[in-house]
Amino acid sequence: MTADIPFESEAGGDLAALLRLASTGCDDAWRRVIGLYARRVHAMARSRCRDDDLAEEITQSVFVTVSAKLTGAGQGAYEEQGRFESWLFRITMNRIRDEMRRRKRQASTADPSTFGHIAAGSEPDRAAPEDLQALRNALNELTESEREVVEMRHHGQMSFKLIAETLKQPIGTVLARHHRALKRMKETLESRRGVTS
Amino acid sequence: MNEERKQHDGLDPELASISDALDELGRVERRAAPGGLESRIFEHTRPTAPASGGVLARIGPGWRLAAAVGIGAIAVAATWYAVQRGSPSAPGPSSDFDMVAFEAEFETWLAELEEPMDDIESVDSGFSTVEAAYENFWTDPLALGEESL
Repeated sequence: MTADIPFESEAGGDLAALLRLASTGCDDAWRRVIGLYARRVHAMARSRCRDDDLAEEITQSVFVTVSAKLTGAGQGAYEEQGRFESWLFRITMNRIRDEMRRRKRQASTADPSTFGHIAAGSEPDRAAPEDLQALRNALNELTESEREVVEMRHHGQMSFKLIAETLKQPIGTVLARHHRALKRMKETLESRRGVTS
Repeated sequence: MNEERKQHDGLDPELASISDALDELGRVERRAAPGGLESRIFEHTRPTAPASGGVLARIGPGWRLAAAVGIGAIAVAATWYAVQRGSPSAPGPSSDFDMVAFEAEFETWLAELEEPMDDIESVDSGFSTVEAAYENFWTDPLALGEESL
């Protein structure tokens, strides 16, 4: 297991300096902030909506909000000093939830087959290996709260501490939810394996 | 992160393998981001980043003018208020003395200005000559004839 993008602790004290620079309009600093987080945000959105364009739209909207609040241009400017990542990922989770709610609403008033497609979770990624697709399908079987923890952890590369801060939950709750999610996924994968064999 | 990953040691090996597989899935999803994602986001979010110079740079010219007018109005009001309050209680002799000194200084200044005033008069007479020539042109029958052609 290798991390291609650093965790919060590894971004370290540099992050505060970077954010300070970005908030004064330094293009390079803002570019680095985007470089640190855009793919993680995008992966979380993509995992949920299975749509590259929509995932990019969500990612963009997250960074528009972050940029506006970081520079104090919007209402509720960023003030949570030292908690940037939990703030950023909270915005991300809220955007993803909003988008999923909107899609479900649209689907429920539209063709029932569309709803079935979304409920089934995804358009199969033909390029992906079969086992990854099986994992995606198992992910779709999780409850909303379990899925959020799994996606934050494995797609967003967040530490459990950061997940707990983001969700405003005790870390024990987050760990238990993650453990439960893994167990459920294991059961789902086993039952599907049983069906196919 | 690596330390946190050691928590896998406490997991059932099968759960640990699922966790590793999810890490792999996460990596695939991050790498699946379309090319140029960061650049596009940068371009779209750049306008909302502040221009260098901070808050002052974001204040438009309209607001600056309004601020200047406001400050000017406050200054005028403050001066008027000070004069109103100050005049009855202002001591006479010292202010009279100042006024005399000011008048003398003003006279001197006027005297120094005499020569430039002569220059201004010559410029003025020049203007009168040009004006007369202009009027002559429009009363010149030849010029008017050309106009009518």
